[in-house]
Amino acid sequence: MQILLLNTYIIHNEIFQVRVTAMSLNPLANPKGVKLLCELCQKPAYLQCTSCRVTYYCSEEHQKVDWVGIHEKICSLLLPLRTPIPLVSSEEERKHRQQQLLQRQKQMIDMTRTEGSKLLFEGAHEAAVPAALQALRFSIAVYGLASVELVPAYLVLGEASIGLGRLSQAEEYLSQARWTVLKTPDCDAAIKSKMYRICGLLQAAKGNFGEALKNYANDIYHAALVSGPKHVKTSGGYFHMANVFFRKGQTETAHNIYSEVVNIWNQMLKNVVKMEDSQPESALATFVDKPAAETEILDEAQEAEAIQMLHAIYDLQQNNANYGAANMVMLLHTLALLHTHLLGYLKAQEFVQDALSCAQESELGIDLSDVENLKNFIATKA
Amino acid sequence: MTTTLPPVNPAGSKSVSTLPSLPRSQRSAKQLARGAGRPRQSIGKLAGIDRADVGAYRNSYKHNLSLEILQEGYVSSFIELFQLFDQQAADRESAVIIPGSDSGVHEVPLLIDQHDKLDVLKSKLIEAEEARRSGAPEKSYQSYLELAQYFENFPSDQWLIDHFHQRCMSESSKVEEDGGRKLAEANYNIGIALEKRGDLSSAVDYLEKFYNLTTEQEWQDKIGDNLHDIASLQLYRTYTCLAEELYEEAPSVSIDYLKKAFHMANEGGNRTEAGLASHRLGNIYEAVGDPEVATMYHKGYLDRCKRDKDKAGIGKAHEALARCQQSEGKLEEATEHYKEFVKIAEEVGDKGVYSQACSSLANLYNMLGEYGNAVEYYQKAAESMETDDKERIELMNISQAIAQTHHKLASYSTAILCNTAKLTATLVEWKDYRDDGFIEASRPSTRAESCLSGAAPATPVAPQTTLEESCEGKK
Repeated sequence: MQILLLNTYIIHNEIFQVRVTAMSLNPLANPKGVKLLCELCQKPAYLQCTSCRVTYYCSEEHQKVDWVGIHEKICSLLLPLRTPIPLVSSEEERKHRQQQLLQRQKQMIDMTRTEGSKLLFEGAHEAAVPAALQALRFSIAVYGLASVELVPAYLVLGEASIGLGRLSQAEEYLSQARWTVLKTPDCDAAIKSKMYRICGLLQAAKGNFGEALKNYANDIYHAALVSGPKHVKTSGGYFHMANVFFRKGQTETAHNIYSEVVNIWNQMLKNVVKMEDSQPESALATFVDKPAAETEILDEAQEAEAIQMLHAIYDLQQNNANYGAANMVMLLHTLALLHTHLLGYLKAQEFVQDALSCAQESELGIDLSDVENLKNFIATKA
Repeated sequence: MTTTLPPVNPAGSKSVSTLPSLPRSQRSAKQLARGAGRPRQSIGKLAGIDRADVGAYRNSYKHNLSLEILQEGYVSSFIELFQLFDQQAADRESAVIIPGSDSGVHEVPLLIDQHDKLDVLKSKLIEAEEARRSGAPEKSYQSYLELAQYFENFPSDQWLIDHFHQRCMSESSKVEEDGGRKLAEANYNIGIALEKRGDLSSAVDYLEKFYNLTTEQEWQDKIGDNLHDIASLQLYRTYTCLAEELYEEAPSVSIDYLKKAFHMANEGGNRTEAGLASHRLGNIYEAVGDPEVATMYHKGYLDRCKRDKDKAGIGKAHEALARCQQSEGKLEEATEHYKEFVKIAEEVGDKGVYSQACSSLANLYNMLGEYGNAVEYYQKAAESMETDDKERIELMNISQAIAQTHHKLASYSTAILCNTAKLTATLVEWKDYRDDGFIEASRPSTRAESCLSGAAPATPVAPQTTLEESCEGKK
């Protein structure tokens, strides 16, 4: 038994120590007909994870990458999913077990997909790959090979490929996704929107700006059909479109669209923070009654998306002199709200200060009541 | 199989340098797909159809329009347009259908189906956004105004007109150079639109704002009229309409509105309107039961009409004044006014009005007891009346006859009571020939008076008293 101690993995600006144990196994010793393959590359496996004992790897590197990517989070959950169900006597029990299995698999799909998206938004494309793979595998297990539900998993994989620079691979995944969508005439508009967004990303990475814009336009249209044109889900599309305009050189258009994005997020975050303020416990607890359906909570992937988008806009605007003071104040306010939601009160305070000073410099009659309220709120919390 | 397998890296890279390939079964499916796709692609190229064109044919008009707007980067226009679609859909859903009646909202065709309107909307919204971006809010105001005017041709699209007027207002508040003129105009437009629809109370709010904003300003519109005058005129009209509406339920509120209308009309220097306002106020005070105040207002109207030389108006004013005086009990003045009315009606030449005037005067004389004049005027009324209106003519004739009777009553009763031979002879003659000389002959002269000395004379001002009663009184 080899004990591997992996020191100092630096990911997401956090330094932690990972202790992963593995047991080596000999493929020849497997029962007849049983071929254990590596999680990541599907080659014959030589290592077994000791904590769950149902996951196999071909080498230490793959184990490390998988652990960091997704395995740490799903290790314990994999056990019931991969062991065969013991035979039980009654029909009901079997049915019940089947149901439970299905339930767990679906939860797994959601979790892996969210994790994958989150990692993508944080920019860790490589680490997103294992998560995306798991999502794909479980989706295939639950829904079958040519189902629409596979599309989001393919999209995450595609986006990871783009991030890693492997555009041909990305194109493969994306064409698979597109084909599946095309074959499903009553496909949900949300899935279509996601598909168009990643296609747009691919085209933008290739440099075909016209095609990229067409794809983003479709993305925004479908997202608006689902959740309205002023929703945070649509704002992602706006953001990417603005990026394309920026790269094309139409900076004015780009900045206008960025302001729209900021407005939408501002509105959303204000509601979120207000809601959290009124129900501080239930915002954190997930097993208590969820808040009313109208007020939405941000899930992790959306939070990561918000961080990425808003900080990107912020960096761009630092260099832009023409960005109106009102827009700047709005941006800073939104950033402050975001950090308040994420409980990063110091940063939030910084942004609030910036907002107030910016407003004072400009001497315009900007409505600062919201900013003031936020400042007081942070002061009470910090 | 062209899916990438991990390259053999002799240096022993630590990271996963490749992505895992697709699951095996997928590859075959994908290959099939690709294989089947090739002939399709070539057909497409032969036919000259691009993938984008296919999309254009398959998607709905709304879809294609949105795509066009977004590809040019006009995100706010897209958002606004989409929200309009959503609003219409929501209105339709929430509208309660009463079975059997016309469900108004559901009969209006959906905006997304009306392609030419969509085109206009797209071009104008893009114009407005361009203007906004270049920092020219007056141009965006102009675009929204044009949109509102365009939709005024379609009365079923009231909601769109309202929406665009509101947008005009929000844009106009951003315009800084003109000192709030656009804002005032926006208020005016919204007020007018609401008034057309019949929503008078809200219209009044906006028009008042317009009025207040134009108070000190010297702005003129295209024709050259002062905006402030327009404001006061419009407010006058709206107040009058409101007053009429509220008249039955709440007369006092009605009075307030009419007073405001009067104030407005006076301010604007619009004399004819001021006169009319005055007249209306007089009427309503009469109806409420306050004839003194009514008189005041009617006098105002009279003056105005005299200045304007509006004869019909003067006539009406006199009539109104006469009515007021009558209800107050000042009958002589009433008579004066009625006389004026008749005179003017004669001058104007309108037969209907003339006969009306004559009959009113005759009634008054009747009440006063001057039966001779009453008879005269009843005659005139009947003559000048239109021959179609047989009922009224008969009424006039009957009234005339009654008046004649009363007129003769005094002489008749004296003649009978006096019992002198001469008088009786005249009486009998009269019965035969019914001429008017009877009245002259048997006028209560000194002879008759001496006859009746000590007897209470049959008072002319008591037409109700009968012959018997007067005899009793004498006894």
